Amino acid sequence: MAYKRQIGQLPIVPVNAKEHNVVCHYCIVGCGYKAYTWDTSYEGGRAPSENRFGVDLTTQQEAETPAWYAPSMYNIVKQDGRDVHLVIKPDKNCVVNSGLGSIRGARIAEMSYSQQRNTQLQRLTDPLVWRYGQLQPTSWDDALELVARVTAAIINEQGEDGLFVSAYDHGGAGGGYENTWGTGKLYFGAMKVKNIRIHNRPAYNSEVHATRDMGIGELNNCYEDAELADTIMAVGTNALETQTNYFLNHWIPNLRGTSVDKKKAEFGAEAVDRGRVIFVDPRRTVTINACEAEAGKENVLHLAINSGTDLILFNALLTYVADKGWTDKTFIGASTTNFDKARAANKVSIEEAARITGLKPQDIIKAASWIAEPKAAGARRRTMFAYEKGLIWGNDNYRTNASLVNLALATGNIGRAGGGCVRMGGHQEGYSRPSDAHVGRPAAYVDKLLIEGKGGVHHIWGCDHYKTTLNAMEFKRVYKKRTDQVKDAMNAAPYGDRDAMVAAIVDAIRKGGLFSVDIDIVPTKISDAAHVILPAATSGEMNLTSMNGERRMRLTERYMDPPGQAMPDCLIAARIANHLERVFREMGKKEVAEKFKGFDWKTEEDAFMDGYHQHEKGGEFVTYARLRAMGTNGFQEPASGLEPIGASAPPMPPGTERIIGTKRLYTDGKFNRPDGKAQFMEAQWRGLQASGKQAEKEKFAFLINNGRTNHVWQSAYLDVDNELIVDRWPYPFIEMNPQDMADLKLGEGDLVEVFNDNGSTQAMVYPTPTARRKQAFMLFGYPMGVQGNVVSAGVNEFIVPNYKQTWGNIRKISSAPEGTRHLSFKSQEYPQST
Amino acid sequence: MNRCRKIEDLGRRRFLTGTGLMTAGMAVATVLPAEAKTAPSAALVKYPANRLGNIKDLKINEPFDVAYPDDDAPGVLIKLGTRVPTGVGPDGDIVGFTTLCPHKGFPLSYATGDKTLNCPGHYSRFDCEKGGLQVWGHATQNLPQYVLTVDESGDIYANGVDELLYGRLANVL
Repeated sequence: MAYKRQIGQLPIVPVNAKEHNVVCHYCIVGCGYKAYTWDTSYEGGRAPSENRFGVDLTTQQEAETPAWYAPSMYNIVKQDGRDVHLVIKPDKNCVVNSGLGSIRGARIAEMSYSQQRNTQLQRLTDPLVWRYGQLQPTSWDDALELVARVTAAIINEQGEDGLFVSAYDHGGAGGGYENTWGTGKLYFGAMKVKNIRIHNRPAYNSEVHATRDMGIGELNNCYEDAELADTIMAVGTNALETQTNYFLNHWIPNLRGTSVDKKKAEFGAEAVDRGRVIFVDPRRTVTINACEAEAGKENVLHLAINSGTDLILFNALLTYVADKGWTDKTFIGASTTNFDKARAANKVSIEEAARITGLKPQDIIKAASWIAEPKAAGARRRTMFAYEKGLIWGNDNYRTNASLVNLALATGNIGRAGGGCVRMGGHQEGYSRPSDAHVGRPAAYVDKLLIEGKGGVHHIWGCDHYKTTLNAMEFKRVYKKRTDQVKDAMNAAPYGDRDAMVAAIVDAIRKGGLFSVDIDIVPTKISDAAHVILPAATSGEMNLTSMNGERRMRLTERYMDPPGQAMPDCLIAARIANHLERVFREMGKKEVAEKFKGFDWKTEEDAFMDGYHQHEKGGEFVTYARLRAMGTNGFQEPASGLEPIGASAPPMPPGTERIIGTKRLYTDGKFNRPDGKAQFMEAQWRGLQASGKQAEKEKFAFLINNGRTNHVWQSAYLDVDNELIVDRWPYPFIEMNPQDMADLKLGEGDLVEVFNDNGSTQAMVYPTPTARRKQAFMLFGYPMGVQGNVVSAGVNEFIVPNYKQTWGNIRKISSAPEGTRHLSFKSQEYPQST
Repeated sequence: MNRCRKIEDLGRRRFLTGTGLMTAGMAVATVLPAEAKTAPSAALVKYPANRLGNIKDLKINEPFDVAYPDDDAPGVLIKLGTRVPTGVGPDGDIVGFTTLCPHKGFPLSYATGDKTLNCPGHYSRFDCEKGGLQVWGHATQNLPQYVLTVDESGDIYANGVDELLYGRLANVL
């Protein structure tokens, strides 16, 4: 049966517990939490004077009380070497989540390393090296010396192009300004590494090139805009599951009509009403269901397009809106260029778009009217455009992104309250690096080069290609073969003879081998292939800064020790640099060695001050002390100054002045192009753009749509060691229409093979009556069945992958195994009253 | 739904003796000991054995309001009509759950169509036929379920709960 913890009580947070600011390190929303720690020898009491909440805990607390925490919010951890109780619970005073906790964030404590309570014992505690045929623990100096010797040897032979790097570029866990700067300064400062990719895609590129090229940063509004919009247009985003508390705390009030007073206060006499929402998604999601439950079906329009046809829909909407005269002519004239040209190039009739998308013409027209038809007294409609992986990892990324931004620009919705054209995001952001201009555009297709035998050394930072890349089966086959060559060579050399060991490794690399160094907090799938594994610290084990989807920057304070010898990534990068400097000097390459100077950081704060503080816009105002004082609300980037001492009550002491931020971007109509104007872009429809996709669609029966789910979202690396989650999802699910299941003689919980010419993988069948025939939806990036195995190598012109448009066949492997028999396969939709 | 009055105060707080995980109310230490070590301790409390009703009170697939382990902790008994692993009674189909959502404490409502308890606050759903497994939702626990027994007269007793109840840091206050 369902997993239960058999816990009947928890220790009570005492009055004197230490309080730390925490921002959830999983998804982009960055909900505010507070961590409370106190010595294990005591707890608080039930009387109001004896507990942190000041309430009588002998009584039942009300709904939404701050004076309760779930067992998942509790743990015992080490802090400065001592055992302490740890409670991490949502912060009611954080404007992002107002005390809401998601099923991910509300498990931060339980997903911490605890020897005392046996949680996350998978965490890496020591550097590991391949020795005597297996990975064995060693010291930092020993491991780093080996990494530096081999890396330097390969750079000598092949140049810096022989060093391949996979590195996250985001915020939150496995990221943050400190750590992107650490890796960035190493690979883009000390070196000019070109063969580098990002954690979830096979090249070093933007997922939203087009909007940036048009002069519009992709995070340009604030979460409050979702409360103020007349209409929200949601494209390929399933916000209830993947930006949960942003959706619950800021979209839902608008759909319920409870933000109308806020609209009146903001917009005066302008006509306002409960918000409406348009979804563009081939699949019906729980988000759509929740919107219907709150706003009524009459205020929710689901455009269930044929997979991959978003672009032509947006072009038709632009054409219709322009023909109707609903564009914002003043704004277009003052702040943009290229409108007429783009409008002419992208012109598409409603009928043509209906034919390609499979929508009814009247639904497209309805959408156009919800987006742009003027309100009473001619007031412009305020529409917020939100998009994520359905677009980003979908067909023809660059043009589709552009066509959506065209629509937002033409309707005057960027830089305006209740508007914005934003990606919803995955991780928080936290990018601070020296210029990447040398990488070029299109950037190197790193995974393809590795498959082709290129490169000699591979440094991997918090990435797992084995789970989250495309063409994954072929990648794994080649990667294993190449790294095995080096392992075999290492097995034949005595470990203590470093010269012989390095020579054996270099010789194997010359013969096609690859030396793999993995830096992570846990063992991963790709680390099975690694020769050296370096243990990293995560958020809360180090101080970490990031910004969320409305550019809200906060500091998560260190509240516990990292496991064993683990260190922050920025310091690992610095120590690698220190060793490379020494090794190059020993090789007599003084000029090269000199480039590795400037890595004498002792703490993550040193890296922050060297990086963000000195290099980012407004960074000069931002310090740890000021961020600490600003708590879980922080400020919205970019910083523009400091409030004078005494401006706030009570006055802040010197060094902790409040930072002045930026609520929305582009409110002055000035954009990020040389002429200060946003540029409309030509973006014609060209069918399924990535090579081989159309043929795949014609050959295979099922669309293998794919994406995320509520339980597991930016948290899978820890969830694999969390009972609640593994109990619910022992295998990745694949949602299928019951009639398709009947045709294939499948029952709920059966394991099926999904296969096509790219590879094969497995999933557990979840009957889903709302799924369209021949359109399956599989959980992405799950270790027990990697969807990327069946995704083709086809990419767009800037090497952005196309995971979503994948077709394959499905066949039964086995009836439901024991681990699935206790599960529920009921509808995930909240039942609506009829 | 009417609250079941038959069980009022029956056995309520009969066993308020649970000491539990830590010594609650202990004076706060101001000087920390040199080495803090955690002693293994029970995470369970001592529950009252309360009569919640009789099998004659139950109709198939109709929730029967109860409260456990005290009047401030609302819950339901449900005779599902099909035998389930945690079910009690002659047909092995009687189960009992809290009706406070373990996410934010909103009251759950029973959907007879698919035998789930559903939260109007944030749409979480729990499957009564699968031990309260969260079908979908935000709670970090599956739904706390009662440990039930049925005596010869058909009286149904609750003897414990398998997860922490929302809104209380000890299930027995």
